[in-house]
Amino acid sequence: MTRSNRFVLWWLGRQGVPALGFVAVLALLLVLLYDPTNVSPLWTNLRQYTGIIVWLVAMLLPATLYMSGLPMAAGMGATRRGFFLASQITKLPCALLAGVLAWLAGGLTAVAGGIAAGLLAACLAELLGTICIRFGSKASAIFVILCALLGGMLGAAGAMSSFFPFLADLAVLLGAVPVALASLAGAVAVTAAAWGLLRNMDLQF
Amino acid sequence: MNGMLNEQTSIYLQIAQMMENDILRGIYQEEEQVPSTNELARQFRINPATAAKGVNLLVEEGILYKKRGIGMFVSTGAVAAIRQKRKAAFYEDYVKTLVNEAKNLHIDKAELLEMIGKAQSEG
Amino acid sequence: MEHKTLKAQGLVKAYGKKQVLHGINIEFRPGCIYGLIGRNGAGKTTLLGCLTGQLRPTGGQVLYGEDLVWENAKALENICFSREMSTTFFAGPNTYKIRDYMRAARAYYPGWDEEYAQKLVAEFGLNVKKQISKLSKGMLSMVTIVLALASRAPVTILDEPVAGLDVVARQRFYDLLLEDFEQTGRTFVVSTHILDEASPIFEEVVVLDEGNIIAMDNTDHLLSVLHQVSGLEDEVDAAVEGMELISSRKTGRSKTVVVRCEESLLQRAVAGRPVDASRLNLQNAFIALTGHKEDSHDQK
Repeated sequence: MTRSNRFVLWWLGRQGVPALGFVAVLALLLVLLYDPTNVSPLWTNLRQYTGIIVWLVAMLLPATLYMSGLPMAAGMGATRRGFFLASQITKLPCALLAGVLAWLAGGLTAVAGGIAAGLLAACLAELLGTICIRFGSKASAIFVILCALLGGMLGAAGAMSSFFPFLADLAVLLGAVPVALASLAGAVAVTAAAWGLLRNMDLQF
Repeated sequence: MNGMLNEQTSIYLQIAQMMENDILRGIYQEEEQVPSTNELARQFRINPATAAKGVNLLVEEGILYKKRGIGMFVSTGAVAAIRQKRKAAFYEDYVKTLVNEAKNLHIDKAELLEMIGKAQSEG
Repeated sequence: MEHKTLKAQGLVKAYGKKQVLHGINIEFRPGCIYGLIGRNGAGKTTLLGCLTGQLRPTGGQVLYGEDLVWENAKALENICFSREMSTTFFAGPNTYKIRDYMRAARAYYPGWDEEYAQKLVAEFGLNVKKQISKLSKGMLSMVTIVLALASRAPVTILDEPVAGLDVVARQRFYDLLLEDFEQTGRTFVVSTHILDEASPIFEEVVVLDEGNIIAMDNTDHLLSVLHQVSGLEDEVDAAVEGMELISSRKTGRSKTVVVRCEESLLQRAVAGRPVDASRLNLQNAFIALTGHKEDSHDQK
């Protein structure tokens, strides 16, 4: 288990953090370059979505780890259990960022809901990753479409950007705890599904 | 010791034979050290176990002996021993083949002996 | 790190309805260099995948010492399986660099020898900052070799390590392998298609054919019990009567057979007969063993 821990930490440092950092700097630049005297709709929208873009990259970390890191690790004798446990680390950036965004959008009461939702999103990415290596890119594309449809069905206009404000409103309506619990339950279920796929999988690429 | 290995006989036998040849030619003198198993393996690009098998064959026959911690050495009297051994094998390896081939070509005993005499005087 | 025997017992592997390995029994003992040979599609890579915990056996088991290899980190850290890495991912080219693989190997192999790895990289003239997708076939082979040798794993398996190398580079590989073996005495299993070059290196050879082990023997012993006998058909048939026939070929009145038989027995059987009897090299032995007894190529 510690072998895969070392591997994933290195992977995060080599792949994840630079990617995140790059996007975060871009986002920061966009925000800083906002010109108050010349507000174009595109600019405003971009500025609004920078946080979301950073979060998207963070969310995809688990998927990327499985799709590119697992072949390498499996070739070197990683166990599925060890790799799976180690990969949980990659969900943290997403969950934390989602919490930050929720705080920015809806105040402290939304943070728990945000973290839980971020965790759920990262777990979905992990499932996406395992579906991809097990069934190939066509299947994972189908999975992504299904998730998007589901997300759309939850009230957002096809774009993830509505997802958090929606949750923030819902949180205000229901109180933060049920929403957070629902997201956590979802995260556990999705993670169990990913492990179910992984535990007996043939890993030769 | 340099030479190429062929595919007709076991490699370890060829190694032993080549060592014997070198001893006969004086490349390795009696009481001198011979290359180690690993050196042989490296030189011929063969598995060390194969090289060892060849060397051990010669040790069993008393042609080489082992000095613990140092390596393999040519025994005293090795040259004579090799010649003796080869003389005994000469009949099987050369004479029988000669006779068989002569039979195939319908060369009778008299003609064969004449050929042998001629070869000896030429050599 | 522990030197133990890696073995498969009754190993079966099927993909859906298609069975690829049919009950393999095999042992790789410490301190020996094995050659694994088989035609493309015989199941070599599948066998190696099962031996190294990458593929899940459908039946039977794989053990390292007394422990199952499956999902066993303690066993797997002693086993290195090095094969040519893919130049693509599921989504695009393999953008990892050579040094990324070396870094990953360092995490997974407790015996990883960084100094040795650097030395090999320098000798091969590899640029560790280069992406895998941009490497030539030769360089890919070299990376396979570097990872395998520097892993210093007690059981090191190399799947076609010389596939992309020219003849001079291949010779260098055999030298490096022997050098390493001299130093570490670890178990090597090398699968290759270039048989006669490599056969003197192998102490034992395993022949895999259509998912079955058809021969597993000391290389020299195997080659000493396989004989090619040729001559007039009737004479050949008489000489090899009662022997295990491996392959047979007729050309007009002449016939060439390959039989498996103790050397002394064969010498006696052909003595005095007008037939030619000779040994085979590993390549021809392999062709005979896997040629599925193509019986008559009746050529006039």
